[in-house]
Amino acid sequence: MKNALLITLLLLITYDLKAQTNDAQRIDTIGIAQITIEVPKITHIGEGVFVSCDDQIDATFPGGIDKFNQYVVKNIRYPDFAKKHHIQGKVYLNFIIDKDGRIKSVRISRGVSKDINEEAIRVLKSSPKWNPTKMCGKAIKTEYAIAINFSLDK
Amino acid sequence: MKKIYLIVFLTFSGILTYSQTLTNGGKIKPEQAIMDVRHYTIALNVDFAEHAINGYTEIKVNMAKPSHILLFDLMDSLNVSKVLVNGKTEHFDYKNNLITIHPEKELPVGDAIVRVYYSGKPHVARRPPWDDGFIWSKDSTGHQWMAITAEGAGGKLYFPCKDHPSDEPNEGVDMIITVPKDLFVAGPGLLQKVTKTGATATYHWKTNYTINNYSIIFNVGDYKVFSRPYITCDGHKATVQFYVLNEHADKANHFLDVFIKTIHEQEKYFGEYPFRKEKIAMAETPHLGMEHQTMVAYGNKFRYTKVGGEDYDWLMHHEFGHEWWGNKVTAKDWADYWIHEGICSFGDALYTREFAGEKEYNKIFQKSIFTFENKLPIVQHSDMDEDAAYINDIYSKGAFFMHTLRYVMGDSLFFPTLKKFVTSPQYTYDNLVSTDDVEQFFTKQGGYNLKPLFDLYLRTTNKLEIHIKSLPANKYLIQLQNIDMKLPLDITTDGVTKRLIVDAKGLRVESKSIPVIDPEVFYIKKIIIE
Repeated sequence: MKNALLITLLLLITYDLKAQTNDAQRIDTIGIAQITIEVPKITHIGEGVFVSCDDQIDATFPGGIDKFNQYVVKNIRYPDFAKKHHIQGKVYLNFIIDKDGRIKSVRISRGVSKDINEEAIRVLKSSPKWNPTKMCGKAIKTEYAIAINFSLDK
Repeated sequence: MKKIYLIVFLTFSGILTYSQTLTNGGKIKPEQAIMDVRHYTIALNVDFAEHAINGYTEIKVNMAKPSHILLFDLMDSLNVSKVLVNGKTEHFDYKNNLITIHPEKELPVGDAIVRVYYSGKPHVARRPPWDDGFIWSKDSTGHQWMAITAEGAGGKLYFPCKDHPSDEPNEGVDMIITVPKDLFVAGPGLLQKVTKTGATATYHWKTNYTINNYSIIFNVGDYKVFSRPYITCDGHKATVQFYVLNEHADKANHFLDVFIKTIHEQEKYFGEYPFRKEKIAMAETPHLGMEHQTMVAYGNKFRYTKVGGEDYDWLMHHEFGHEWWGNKVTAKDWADYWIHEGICSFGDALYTREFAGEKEYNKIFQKSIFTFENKLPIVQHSDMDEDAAYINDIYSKGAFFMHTLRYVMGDSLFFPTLKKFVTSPQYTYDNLVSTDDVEQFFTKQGGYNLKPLFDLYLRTTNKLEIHIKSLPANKYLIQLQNIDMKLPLDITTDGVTKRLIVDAKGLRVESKSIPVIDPEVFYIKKIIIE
């Protein structure tokens, strides 16, 4: 597939964020799961022009994707209210990495509860800078999707 | 909320009564029964000035028996100029919407490649999507806008094929469509390549998934593509795309918001989106809509209604639901069409359950019950063609049947069973299904025989007959008259509603007034008071 994708390349990571419920016991995060799947090749046509470019470099997180995993898991706090009421589930978010590598426009595409959603947004928004996607040597903005799993061990 | 669904069901019953003159399926021709279609390549030039097409279709078939004849369906409105079998020109007849090829030597068992060159003006739809054909239209900026619907007429509208629901091209389809260079072709699967030569552009679309004949279509227009990354419920990455007319580009972002909410909701009930390796996509079309696999046609003109306080598009939801019910799970006989339309429509009601609650969900069915025609059973007999099988009740009564089944089995059993069915390899993709498959699966998972319920509501127009006999001392005997199974029944006596198990022998209840049976309407029923 020679024709590079202009706007959207996806990053798929599922983070499992687990916390223990028993008070005064482990409330730390346990376990991170990363799922990698082959990228479906999508040809993009922009402004009526067919873009052909072989040297697209996907956005990267300094230190690699595992570092980003660690960043998310370390910084997310399981909201107290959700923990107390045993609210759990996956939050699906979309966000944009702009030309400067900043995470912008974080949106919930399917949420769990208000406090869990807000916590996920907060951590993504305060993420350190990424190295932006480059196409033909030029930085471009890309949209990403992420799922963060909030689950409580019994 | 009330109004929304009233409109939905009225729309269905109002429009669907237009009968189709073209049809497909029915009793399979013996010459075609021994031929398994593996793949189609459709390579056509589209002439917008003449409303014509020309090019070829290449069909890869696998012969189960040696044969002196090859038979393909193609509508007579076209002209066939040449037929090649394994690269060699062969004699053929072309009449009565059939191409009959007479290979010089008997065709042996195994694979064969048939290429048919043809041209002409394909049938034009008068009232799509209820009457099929090509739709030649223009958008308000003067750009050509073309679409095809083929659910009734079948693929033979414009490409030679085995036009029967029991056979899908297992290895997928390649479409190589040439149009004027200012236009964009939106097709199934993934776009491989666009070649621009002079005044034309050739779009090569390819799907590796098995696909039903009526989904093998393309759309042409002044499209702009909006894409978003998406993560499926199983954690796989996918892409959501909307092929929107340039003139409506400002509507695309909100459309995608509504669409993505719909995708997450359908995945919750039916499991992962079935064609994630290619794309999740909709294309704006000049007709209302159709479930074209991986390029679902959308023509509801961005008319949203509110469910749970947020924008919802019932038509988008319904057509997209067919990616599970119709495209992933496909009936092998049109007789079992309710599996597509009934379960898909039930899924539409689940959206309301999800975002507006159980009460609003119940109201949908309490209203839809008045729309049934109930003149013919949903499943009439085997070997049905599309036109004969396509009755309103496959939608509304089919959906109601699923509502009843949910009540009978209970949520903790019903929802996992439904998801298990639609995610089981045995009933999906290449493995087409029948009503019996659905019944036997639910019976097995449920742990008791559900056949009487399936038979009553799907194979007859009878209603559940509930007999209430008044006995002395404020007592009543409640019996099921025409079904040989135990069923749960909500019974209200003196203002208190209890869910009780009733059968033919009956159940005695005490009440100062006549008991109220099934007040929330989980059954299509007739109550006889003695």
